[in-house]
This record gives sequence, structure tokens and C-alpha cells, in this order.
Amino acid sequence: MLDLLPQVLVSGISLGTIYGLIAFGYQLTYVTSRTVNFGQGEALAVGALVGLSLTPVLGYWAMLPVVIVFGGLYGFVVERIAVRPTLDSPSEGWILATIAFGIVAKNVSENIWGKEDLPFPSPLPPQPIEIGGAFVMPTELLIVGGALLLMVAIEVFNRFTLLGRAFAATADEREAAGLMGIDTGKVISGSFALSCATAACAGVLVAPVTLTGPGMGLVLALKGFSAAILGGLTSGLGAVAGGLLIGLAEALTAFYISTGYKEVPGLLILLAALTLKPEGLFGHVLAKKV
Amino acid sequence: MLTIEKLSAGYGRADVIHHLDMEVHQGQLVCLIGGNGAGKTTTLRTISGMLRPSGGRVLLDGHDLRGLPSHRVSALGLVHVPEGRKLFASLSVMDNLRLGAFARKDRARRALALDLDFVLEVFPLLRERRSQQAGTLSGGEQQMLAIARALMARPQVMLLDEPSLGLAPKLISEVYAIISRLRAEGRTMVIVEQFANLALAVADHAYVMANGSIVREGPARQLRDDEGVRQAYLGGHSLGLA
Amino acid sequence: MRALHPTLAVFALMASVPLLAPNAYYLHLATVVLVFAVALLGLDIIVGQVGEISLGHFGLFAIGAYTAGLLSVDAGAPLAVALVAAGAFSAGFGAVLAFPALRTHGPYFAMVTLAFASIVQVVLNEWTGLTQGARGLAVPKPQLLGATLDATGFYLVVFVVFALVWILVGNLAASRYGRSFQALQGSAIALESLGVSATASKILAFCLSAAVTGVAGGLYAFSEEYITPQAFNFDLTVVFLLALIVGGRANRWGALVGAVVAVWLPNLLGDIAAFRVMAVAAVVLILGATARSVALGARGWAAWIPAAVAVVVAVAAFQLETMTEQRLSVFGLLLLGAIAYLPEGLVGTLAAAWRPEPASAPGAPPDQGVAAGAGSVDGATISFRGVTVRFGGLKAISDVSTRIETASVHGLIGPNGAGKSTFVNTLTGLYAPSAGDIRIGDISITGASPARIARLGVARTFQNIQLFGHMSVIENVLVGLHLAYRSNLIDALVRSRRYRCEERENRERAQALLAFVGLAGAANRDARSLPYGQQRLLEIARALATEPKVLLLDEPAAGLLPSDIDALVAILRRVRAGGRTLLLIEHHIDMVMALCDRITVLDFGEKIAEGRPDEVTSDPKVVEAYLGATQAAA
Repeated sequence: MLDLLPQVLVSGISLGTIYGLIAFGYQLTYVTSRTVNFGQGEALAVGALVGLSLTPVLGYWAMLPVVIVFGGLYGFVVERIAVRPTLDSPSEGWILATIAFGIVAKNVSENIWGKEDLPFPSPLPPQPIEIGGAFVMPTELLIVGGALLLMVAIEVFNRFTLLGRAFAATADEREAAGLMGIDTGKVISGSFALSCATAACAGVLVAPVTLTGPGMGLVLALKGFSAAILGGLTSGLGAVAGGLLIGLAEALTAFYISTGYKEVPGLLILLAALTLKPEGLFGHVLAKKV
Repeated sequence: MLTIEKLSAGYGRADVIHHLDMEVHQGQLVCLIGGNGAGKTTTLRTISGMLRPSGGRVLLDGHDLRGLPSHRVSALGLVHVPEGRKLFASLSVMDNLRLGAFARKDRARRALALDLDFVLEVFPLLRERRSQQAGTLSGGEQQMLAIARALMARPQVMLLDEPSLGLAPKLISEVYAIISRLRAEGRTMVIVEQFANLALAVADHAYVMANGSIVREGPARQLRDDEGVRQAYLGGHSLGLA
Repeated sequence: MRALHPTLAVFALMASVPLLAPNAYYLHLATVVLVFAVALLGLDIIVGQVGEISLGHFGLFAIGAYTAGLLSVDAGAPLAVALVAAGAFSAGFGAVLAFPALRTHGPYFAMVTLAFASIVQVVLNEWTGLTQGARGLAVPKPQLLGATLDATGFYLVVFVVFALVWILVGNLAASRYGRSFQALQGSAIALESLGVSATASKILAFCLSAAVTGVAGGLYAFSEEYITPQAFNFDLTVVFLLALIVGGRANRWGALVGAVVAVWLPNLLGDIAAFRVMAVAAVVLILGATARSVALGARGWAAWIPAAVAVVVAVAAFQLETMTEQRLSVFGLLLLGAIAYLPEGLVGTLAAAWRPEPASAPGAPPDQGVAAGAGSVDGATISFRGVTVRFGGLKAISDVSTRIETASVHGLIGPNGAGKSTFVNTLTGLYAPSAGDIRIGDISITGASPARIARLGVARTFQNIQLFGHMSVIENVLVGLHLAYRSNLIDALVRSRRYRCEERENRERAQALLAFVGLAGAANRDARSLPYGQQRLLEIARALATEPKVLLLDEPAAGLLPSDIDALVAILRRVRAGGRTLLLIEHHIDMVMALCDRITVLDFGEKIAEGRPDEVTSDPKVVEAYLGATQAAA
């Protein structure tokens, strides 16, 4: 059993990176606006379905940037319709509003693409490659590589461009950012666009291994969300760490205990972590004056 | 330069400031003094668009600022250094300065470099700390950075809210030395200050607020020796000031 | 009492459904409506009262369903036993779930509840030895008093359970427990400052909510006669929340209306002709409402969005042969519309349109004759010994020692940022000192929780007003009286005589306290609708309700008009006359001078002076602190 450990770890890491990427998407909007899109799973599924329809026309590689742009537009609409008008409503109206938006998106895509799961052609050959005693599918490498590349790209944008710094400034002090001439409303829209773009991209990346359909996003988004909450919604690094933790817990449980229970340890870790540290493992408390 | 006419504003339904009239001329340093809760901060917040006025208007160089959000007001050249600095704590000193220039009109590389040099010359400490996170600066350094960040916007008018807040006396005098220098360079500024003496010492003109209204105004020199002014900011007890 | 008659009429109608229902299908539909209504009444304890979004109630519903189902399959338990067990078992899980949920809010809270329910779902699926897993569980027809119930009998049972839950939940919401739940939503910190443990309140809310939802789950198992783990999924939670939001939260009628919508809507969507009629009616209604709001001054294209969406839906309804495939879209749009345009739900919005503005007589002067707040109480001394409070590397208070005498007014002044608020927040247990000792009388309170310190007799007001804004003025004071009750939860649920007596007495006390601060005429207004100055007075009345030995006032005059300040000073004088110790933090120096026996001056977290008002004002260090470095700047 133990000799298969490297194999299990590889699969845990590849799962974990995808969860991390989705978690990263939640963190992007949370820092700028203290809200997240609870319909992120639908953004992911719609991204994958659009990618599926575009691949025959554009080819796999040219389809990627188009899907990312599409995801961005989708996020922009989510913010304008489901988040901005509901910020003042009682008991976190945006939670339900983004869920509702997701329901509509799922239903519309069911009517376009059908309810059945569709196979997504992988651009890479199906022969596994041996790396350090574990066999790795090229698709898995693509998932890990693509997710890391996207996160690095967003980090570079955030750290090294003035606009990215404006995002960070809005996250730190929204009012002061406005005083410095930053249109914080646009920044928040922009963060939702970025967030849904990462989700759509995550959808295209995992589609070859999970099948593609309007319902594919729910479970993935849930795990990504657990990862984000576990890491603490305020930390990008925390999102990735949370993703890896949950991915590994899942792969290890599936292999050594039972596939049926594979989701439970990750969720238990989450509940235990929040009992002890309600702001998440890497999150920090936002001071509140009394 | 900056004209305020019959300005009223507040939170929720009740107005906190009532029918304010103020005038700030080019190159003038105007201070707004008064006790805590008199409405000084609310006045600044309304001028800079953080708060929507319920009546009256604010004119900057003839532009009506009424109803504009703060980022538009800032882009028009009126920059507000808020109470408690409100720095971008997780960003470096340099990033804070760069973001100060985010919305200004003249974004040519040379102009930006020139202003950066100027700011770092006025605040040499910031040069040493340029890559440090703003949140890790001391209180005095943070206030310097907050002013420096606003200067990077090359503002026509700068609003400073309680620049002395929480600073030790030595640092307060350093901050005020810099404010004096900026005034000598002909910058237009409005300062809100709880320590009236400090502000009156550097200002050209002063307004005294109480309970949301302006109760006195006049040249700063004149108000400095005025018993009524003391009433406004220490509630009638001179605390042995005489 | 007048509102009782329509309620009775509706309940009579519900009781006679078996006579009115044209066939078994409709009777079953009505049964499911009531089952959902019970579940929603449970969910509303969290969503409406505590004010958090739970995505996990489908898990509690499933636990109830499986508990009842398994007991009747494996043990042949009768209906009553199965239902009680379902409620009890679910309540236990609710208590467990409360722990990770205790300190979380918003999305974190939603995730905690969802994670819990996901685990429940996996376990139900995988523990096939117990639950038969995905094969599902066939539940036998329910037994009551030895007889097997038919559909009509079962409907009546569900109706009785619904009516019971309706009454109990109503009693709960109106009791001190319900008020403590609602106070959590307003300000947990303020709740603790009144001596009520926010932790205990939240756990109780979870247990009760879970119990009710569990009973509903049990009823569901019997009404469906076949349950599978897949039936209890995320979609079910969305349906619950949709129903509650559309119906209206924090209102029992909202739960009932929501249940009708949630159960009836899918059926409506199956009937395209009926849906077309409804869609057209919706277009007319929404257009009318939009036209009215535009006439009243709404501007911009955003006002027309709901009307445009309704038109699109109506056109789609006439283009399509069937709406069943679009079911979820209609759900989603309804939910979006309800959140954006009917934040109080159908019931809340209608009720607001009907109900006249609560009468108010503002500006009534404080009732000089009433001595409720000034009733004599022995004050206590407060002593600080070498107290230091650090935040990170920063010392907010450094090595402060002071003693505040019984039945005196002690002032605490200093420039902004001097550490005054930190002093109060440390004394009330919000911050723990990093060194030193704080005592009330002889009892050390270093490191004690805010609720415990409050129970020792320390009450406070807040610099940034922390009222329970959505509760009425008198309810705010009643939360302060929470610990004055001897009756327990059972008394409150069944409205025992003991409870009713106490409630009446405490309402009178609360009313007297309101009169004491001059708010007698505003008792039934929402606290948030009061003018700023009156909100400050209400905080004082609420703090006095706890019968404190020590009252801390954190900038009570901030933002008050001069006339309000005079009234405040008069009130505080009478509070002191009762023997209480007062600690006053204030910037209005003249008020401090007028009231205080002694004054402590803080600057940069250090005590720089202490003594009688005249001593302090002539102290050069104080003058320096208040003036800053005048000479240097000049």
C-alpha cells in the first residue's frame, strides 16, 4: 500500500491545485469587497461548456484566452446584478443573490448544452509519464501547470502593476483608496471579473478529467470554498495551502479508507480549524472599533 | 479656489453640519477648529465626496463638486488626508506614494519622478523606508507618509484631518514644521485640528465650529487671542492657558 | 388581540383542508406545505432571529427524517416517539454544530453549516449498514395510538404539530430568549455587556432551530414514505432559503407563505396556462409598482429592470410549450427579485404597507418623578494596579494604576488616542491586559469574559452606539433586564403564569427606565429610528436595566446638541444620587468639570495626572498634553 503513496500524493496535489485555484478566486473578491460569489461553481461550469463549444472552432490553445475573457464578463455581470444591489439588504443578501444568479446560469446552460455530462477532449496524449516513482497523466501536469501559471500571472498583476496595487489598496482601505482617486466600485467589479475568469479557466483545466456539464461546478466550488475558508479568505497563499490540504486529505482518504468518505476529512479539518481559529489558518482578524 | 455654500450633511436622517459657508483662497492655509463632535471631520468628508451633502454645494475652481464620488473629486485636484492616516498598510511606502498619483492628470514619467524626488526630499525618512510596509511605520512616519501620498496627487487643494492625532509632542511639531513649509511654498490647505493653538499658529484664516455650525471666523492671528475660541475647543475652561 | 381573528380563520381553513381537497394529490401537497412550514419556522430562528444565513439546514432536516424513519422501520416506534426522537437527535447535532459556528459570521458561517450538512449527507450515503445508503429507506405508514393513520389522519397530525410549533416559536420570539437571539444580530458585544452570554444564546438558538427542523424532517419521512440521502441536498437548502426570503424572515407568516410558494411553484410551472396568467399578472403588478416609484421620483434605467425581466419571462412563457425546464431560472429570478426589491419578503412588505407608523411622542422631558434608574444601589470601587495593554508592539495603556471610589463620578480625559477607550474596553473584558490586575470591589476580573464582568455589576455605554437597531426601544431595555427573570425556557415557551407575571413586571420596569431618560413616548419605535441623542439616552437606560454597581459612559455627549447635554447631565446626576459609581469619559470638559468628583488624565497610555477637577486643570502636564507642542510649532 505504502509504495503507492507517491501516486496518491500526485493525485492529491493535482486535485489540491485546482481547489487552490478556485479558492484563489474567492479570495480575490473577498479582499476588495468582503463578498464572494456563491455561484462560483456555475461560473466554472459555464466556462468549461463555453470552452467545449469553442474548441472545435478555435482549437484548444486559442480557446483558453477566449474563455478567460468570457469568465471575466460573467464575473462583471454577477457583481452588477447580484452583489452591488444587495449589499445593504439584511443578513448578507449577497450570499443568496449570488446563489440565485448561479441557479439561473445553471438552468440556462442546461437548456443550451443539455443536462448530460459531455466528454472534453484533452489536448495532450493519454500516455502517463513516470516522475519519481509515480505515473502522472500529462493532463494532470497541464492542470497543475495551468493553475500555477494563472495564479502567478494574477499575483504579478497584483504586485507589479499600478492597477494591481490599486486593487490591494482598495482591499486595505477602501475609503482612502477613493480619496486617492481610485474608483473602488470599478475595482470591485474588476475583482469579480478576475475571480470568475479564474473559475472559468479552472473549469476548462479540469474538464478533461471530470467530464463537462452544468452540474460539474457544485462539488468543485464547494471544495474550493472550503479551501478558501480554511486558509482564510484574506490570504492568497492561504487559499493555495488550503486547497492542497483538502486535496491531499481527499486523495489519501479515497485510497486508504474509502472513496465514499473522501470528502469528510477535509470538511472535518475545516470545522476543526474554524472552531479554533474563526478567521482561517492564514487569515487575519479585521479590527472593529467599539 | 474652494468655495463652500450653505453646506449641510449628516449620517442617516439627521444633519450633523448645518448651512456652512467657507471660502479658501489660492495659497491660503485655512484651519477649522472646534471641540470633538463639532462636525469638523464631517465637513471635510462632505467636501471630498465621501459623504453626500443634503444641501448646499462645494465649488472647486468653479467646478461644482456636488454629488461627485470621492475618486472624481480627487481627480479634479482636491485631495483629503483622512483622520487616522488610512494608509494602505500592507503596501510598501513606495506603492503608497505611487498610488497617491493614481488619478492625477499629468502622469508623464518625468513629472512623476520629479514629484517623487520632491516628496522624498521633504520627508527624507521615507526614502530610507521606501520598501518597508506602511503598516509597520511609527505613528509619526505614518502621518508623514499620508501627507506625502496626498502630495503625489499634485493637489490644488489639500485637506488634512487631525494631522496631530496620536502623535507625541515632538513629532507633532515636526509635522507642523512641514505644514508651515508647504504653506510657505504657496500650497492651498485646509486643516482640521483638535489642538487649536497649533493650527492657529500656522494658519492664515480660521473657522471655529460648534455643534455643526460655524460660530466664528476671522484671521488666525486675531482668533488666537480670543476667549470665545477657547470656549469652543475646551468648553469654556481655559486649563490655565492664559 | 384583534390580530387573533384572522389567524384563527386561517388555521380553521387549514384544519378543514381534508374536506376541501379535491383529491389525494392535493391533500399530499397541503401536507408537504405544512411540513415545509415547520422546517422554515425552525430555519427562521437562525436566519430571521440570529440573522445568519445557514446553508446546512438540509442536514438537520435529513437527520430528523432518518431518525424518525429508522426508528419506525427498525424498532416499530410509534409516530409520537419517532418525532420526539427526531427533534431531540437533531437538536443534539445542532448543539455540536454551534461550536464551529460560534465565532464565525457571513460566508464563514455559511460554509461551516454547509460543511456540516455535507458530512451528514456523505455519512447517510455511505453507512449502508444503518441507512441502506443510496437504496433508500421505505418508511411504513405512521402509527398513532395503535392505529395506522391514513392520509387525512396524517395531515391532521402534521397540522397539529405545525400549530404547536407556530405557538412555541411565537412565544420564543417574544420572550427574553428570542430577544437575546435578535440582539446577537444587532451587536454581540452589547449583548455581552449586559451580562448575557452570546455563546450560550447562540448554542440555544441552534438547538431550538435544529429541533424544529428535525421534527419537520421526521414528518417529511412519513409523508414521502420513502427517503434517500440524495433527497437531502444543497438544492433543498436553496429551496428553504428561497421560501423564507420570498415569504419574509423574522415572521411566522413569512414561513407559511414561503412554504406555500416553494411547494406550489413547481406545480404551477407544470401548468403552462396557469403560469401564463400568473406571468401576465406579475407584469401588470410590477409595471404598476415601477410606474408609481418613477412617479415618486425614482430615476435611471435601473428602476425598470424588474419590469423588463417580468416582460421577458412572460414572453418566454407564451413562446415555450412548457416551463418545467425553466423551473430553476424562475426560482432564481424570484429569489434575486425578492432580495433586491422585497428585502422584508412578501409578508413583511405587505405588513409594512398596512401597519401605520408607530405613534411616537418625541421630546417628552425626562420624568423627574420616576426614580427607577436612581433606585439606590451600593456602588463598588474599581482598582487598576499596574495595568498594561499591548497591541502587537504598541502599548495602548502602560502601567496605569488608579482607584475609582464608590458612589463617585470619576472622569477620564485626555487627547484623542490617549488610551481612554482602551481603558474602558479592558475594564469591561473586551481586551485582556498584558500585565497588571483589575478589581471590582475585592474581586479580580483580570481576563474574565465581558458577560461575567457585566454580571459582577459593571454596565457600559459605547462610544460608537451599539444598540440593537432593528428591535424596538423597549425591547432594547428588556434585553438589559434578561438576568432579572427567574422563569426558565419552558416557562417562556408555554407562557406559564410565572413567566407572564415577570414579563409584565419587567415591561413596567423597562417603561419606567425609559421614562427616567425621557423616552417613554418612543417605546415602540425601532431603536435605529431614534435621533442620535436619544439613542445615547437609550443606551444609558439599557445599561441601567442591569442594575449595575458601576456605570461606564464612553463619550455619552459626543454628537449631542447643547440642550441634550443639559438633559444628560441632569440624568447622570440622578443616577449618581442612587449610589452608583460612574466612570465618565468625555471631551466636553465643562460637563466633566460639572459632574466629576475626581479626574484621571491619560496621555499616550500613561496616567499623567489625577485629582480634583481644579487640581487637574491647573497641572502644567495636562495643559501641555491638551495643547501639544505649541511653542515648537509656532
